[in-house]
Amino acid sequence: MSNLKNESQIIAIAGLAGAGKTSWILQQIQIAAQTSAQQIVYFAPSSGTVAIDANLVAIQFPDVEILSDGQELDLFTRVANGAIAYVELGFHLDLAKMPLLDSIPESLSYHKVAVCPRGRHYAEFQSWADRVVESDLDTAQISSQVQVWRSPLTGQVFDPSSLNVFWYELTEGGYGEVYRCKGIFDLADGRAFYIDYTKAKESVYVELRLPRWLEGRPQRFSGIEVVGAGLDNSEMIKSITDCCLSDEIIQNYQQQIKRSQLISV
Amino acid sequence: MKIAVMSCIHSNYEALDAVLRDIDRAKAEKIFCLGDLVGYGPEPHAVVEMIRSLDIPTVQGCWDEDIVEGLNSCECSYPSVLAEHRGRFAHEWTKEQIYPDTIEFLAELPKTMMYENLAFVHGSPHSQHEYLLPELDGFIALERVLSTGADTLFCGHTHVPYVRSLDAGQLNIRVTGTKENQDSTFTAPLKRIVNAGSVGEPRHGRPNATYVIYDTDTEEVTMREVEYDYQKTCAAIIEKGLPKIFAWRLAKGMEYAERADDASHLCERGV
Repeated sequence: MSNLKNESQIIAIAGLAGAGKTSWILQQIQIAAQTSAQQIVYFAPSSGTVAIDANLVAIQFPDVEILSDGQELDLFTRVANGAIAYVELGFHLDLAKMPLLDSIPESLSYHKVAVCPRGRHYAEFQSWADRVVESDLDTAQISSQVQVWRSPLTGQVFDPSSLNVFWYELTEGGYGEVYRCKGIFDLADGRAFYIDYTKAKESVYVELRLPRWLEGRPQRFSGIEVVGAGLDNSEMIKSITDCCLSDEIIQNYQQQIKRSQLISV
Repeated sequence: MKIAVMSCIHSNYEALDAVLRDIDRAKAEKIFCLGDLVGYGPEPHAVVEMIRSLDIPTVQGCWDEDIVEGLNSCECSYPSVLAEHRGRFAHEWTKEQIYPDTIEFLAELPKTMMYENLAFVHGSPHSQHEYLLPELDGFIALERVLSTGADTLFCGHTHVPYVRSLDAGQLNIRVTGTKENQDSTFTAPLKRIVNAGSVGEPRHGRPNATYVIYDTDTEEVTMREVEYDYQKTCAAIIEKGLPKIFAWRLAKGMEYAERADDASHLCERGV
């Protein structure tokens, strides 16, 4: 994936679920952070309260300003003042009906980028974009009966073995056909992980650069998003609930970790 | 003489019926059952009734024991909190389904059976809850067989069928604390552990039932894998209000809830 020149502008990014939109944005931010002190803004319209990508960007690049729905004018102001803004358009959004993009002032520079798997061509994105970026991530074509299910998990702490079992069941079709799922999860030892799956590749597990949470239930974002067809939401909720630890067990784990930290010091 | 040994039916009547037909075709003269008649599956009463009506010698499995005495197992039964939640739900559901005389029948099942030079247990001779995994330390595996006095130990519980020959049975023992340390060496004869797999809740990646045929004359062990209409069992799981994920896992040959896979763990309940 190649990068764009740093300049004051809005870059809107679209593509299929799992095509690598967020990965491309993170790559661009990394490059920009290394080469300039330019302010960077990230905005994912209509991602609701379970904004996994926005939280991932915020964790990996704490200096990036994350905007949410209702802050569109702030976005224009930041760019007018010299910032670069990445606007990630979820695959479920209709590119022909994007009031935000239609209302961008003419004075602001604006580019449309489509992220597509290498060698694959999608007319919808190619006709929309100023530029197509090929990613090394493959992704399956999603059926028209697509469902998106999201759930906040903030405060929940997962038993790692249980999460592994649930994730396997989820990605292998135990709760319906899953094209794409991702989530941020707090674990019993205080660490947080980002897990990412698309139908065309193995799940990726990334430990997030966050301090271990060892004081009760984590008061930081965690959540899950599942894109698929025929999803059994109630069964997913039941299994997720059964993966989570009680207050008593969380406290025991946290005490053990704190004791072991004292010993190692 | 051919004998059939089956285990871990787990309330899966369709699988049991198919295995009994296969045993009939194989012309086995005796059948032994290694327990876990109930648990997880949708037909606990029908399975117990079938075993009773055919008067099949049966040992008590861990699920059978838990239904009689209540849940009291060590951590090896539940390697995750998800498995524990599912196990407890299935336990309560099963208790509600079966009749008092079924519980009485399960309570009276022996923990070990002997037939000539063969021993039959559910998990291990020490406990219905202990897993004799194929990778278990050889010394411990040999000790478990020797403790029965048999040459061949039939077990289930792991849901994965295997035959393990313990033919390197040389034991070196050092007795310390006396004036002179004493070394003794014993050579044990060939012993075998035969795991019959699972009729109703396989763990080998296919939904098919497994059991074994053993020829007492030739000592030949034949693993049998039997196809059956598992979709009927899946439909019954959903109809009867058990978690739908049980049906999916059964269809994938994955067990209803994952099991322990630590071969070095010895069940605290039995040792």
